[in-house]
This record gives sequence, structure tokens and C-alpha cells, in this order.
Amino acid sequence: MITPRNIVHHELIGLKVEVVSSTNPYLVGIKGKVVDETRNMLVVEMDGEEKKVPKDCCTFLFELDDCYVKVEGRLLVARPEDRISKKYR
Amino acid sequence: MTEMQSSSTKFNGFADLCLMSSDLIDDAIEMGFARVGVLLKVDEFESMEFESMRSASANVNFGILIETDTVSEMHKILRMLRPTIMRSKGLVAVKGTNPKVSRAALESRGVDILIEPKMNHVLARTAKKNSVAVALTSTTLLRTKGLHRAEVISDYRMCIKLWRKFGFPLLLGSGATNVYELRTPQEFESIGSLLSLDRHEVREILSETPKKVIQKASIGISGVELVPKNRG
Repeated sequence: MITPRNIVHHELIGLKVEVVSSTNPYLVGIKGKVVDETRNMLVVEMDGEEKKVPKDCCTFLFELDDCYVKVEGRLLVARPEDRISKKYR
Repeated sequence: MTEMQSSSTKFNGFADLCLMSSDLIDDAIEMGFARVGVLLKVDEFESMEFESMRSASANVNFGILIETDTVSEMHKILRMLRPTIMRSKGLVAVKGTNPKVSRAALESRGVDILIEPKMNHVLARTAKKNSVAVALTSTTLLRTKGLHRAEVISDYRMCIKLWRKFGFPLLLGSGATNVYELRTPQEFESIGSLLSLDRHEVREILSETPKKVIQKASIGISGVELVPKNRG
């Protein structure tokens, strides 16, 4: 089960997400479902359009079953298959 | 589980995360702190029942204070107590007895607070990178006098100078072991002005930073934050 403790290790595709802050103001407000992920990018489907959002410069708000979790994008910078074993402080 | 975490990290007001005795909880709350952190010695923490930690007031966070001269000993204690700490979501504080221990504490996983290190730019940068809070305690000021007290104030001022430059999390706490060493938030404001902090900075140090430290201890990763479902 996905929880705030394991979200940075978890699969993100399928989660609802919103960009709440970014060094690029044009990215703030992008909201939708994560449809793809690379090492540095999240692909978010918004109004039928796919938006590529860089992870490193953004803060994301993910919607889980019973809460929202705000995650600094720098924690997500890794290939999804490598993130599972990455150690965080 | 997430419900429990969100309620345990929420508080409004000031916090003193550096109490050294569990007898002082009620007194500290009476003095105006919304949240207190009790740092127990290793043997006290081990002997304390997990259930009694959980049944204590919601305003209290228990933690462990590691006071050692060697890095290997510190790592050994951290390894030994990691499961208990993870289970109880306790704080982990290390006393900066010497520069090697301070550096190792700032670089190791799981340490939340470093108490009274002799700060320099290398430690400051590491503290910022790993989000380890640096705590300054009023008890050290009270227990010293003369030239030694002047040195302590000088060290604290240097720490604040580095805090302004590097922006690592800084805490002000009492470090009290008895009721006479407890101080109110207003007195911390006065201590802050002695150390060249203004009122807003002291308020940030006493309220915002402890929230982040508790959240980090609760979730286990710095940079992940819980937001209630009914926001905005």
C-alpha cells in the first residue's frame, strides 16, 4: 500500500499530482494523472494533453487514498526501477 | 496510519525539543510551549516502554540523546536502537562533543538534532544538505560563567551567522534537567536578542523549525510533507 513513508520508493504512474511550486512559474498549477516517468521527468496528462514536468525543480502534491503528500522533486530524481533501493536521509 | 501521523505532527505555537527529563513535561507546557521533546539517555530510552511513550500526551515527542566521544560508539548505538526509534517515531539527538562526532552525526542517516556543535562552514553545509537541525541550549549559558560563558556566546553567535548564510534548521531549546532551568518562550526571545536574533527569527526558530524536525522524524525522510485532505 502506498503511504507517505514509502511514496518516494513507489511507482508514481497512475497517481493524481499537482505541481505546487517550481523555479519555472509556468509549471505551477499543472494538475492531472501521471502517465509516464523518466529519470528526470514526470509526464502528466492534463485535459487530454501530455505535459512533461522536470522533477528536480518542482515540488509535487500527490493525492493518496486518505491524504495529500507534498514531495520535493529532488527526492524523485532517479529511474523508477532504481528508486526502490535508493537511500534517503 | 497516515491519520495518526498527521495528528502527531500538527501543532500551533512554540516548541522546546531539548528537555532532558520526562518530569518537566507538564511544567514546560504550563510555561507556554505547545509541544515538547524529551531527550532521554540511551539506557533510559531502552528501559522505557513503547506503550508508555505512545500513551503520553499528544504534545510530547520522546527521543534519544547520544552522548559519546567516539564516532564508532555513536554508530553502534544508532544501529542498535534504530528499530525502536523507527517504531516509536522518536527523535534522535547527538551531542556535539567533538568535531569528529559532530561531522559523523550530520552525515549519518537517522539523526534529527545535533546539540551544541562547534559550527563551521563545512558542518553548516552538511547540516543544510541532510536537513539535520542544530540546537542551541540555554542551560549551557546558565551553567557557565566568566570567560567560558563569553566563549559559549561567541560560538552561538558564529552558529547564527552560519545559519543566516547557509539556512540549515536551527533550534533553540532549554536543555533543562530540572525545573529551574526551564525558560518561557518570552525568555528565549530575550536570549535570542543577546545572540543577535530578532523577534521574527526567534519565532521561526521556536515554531516552524520544530514542526519540520518532528515531521522528518515521523515520516523518516526530509522533503516529504503530509497535507490534510481538506486543505484550502
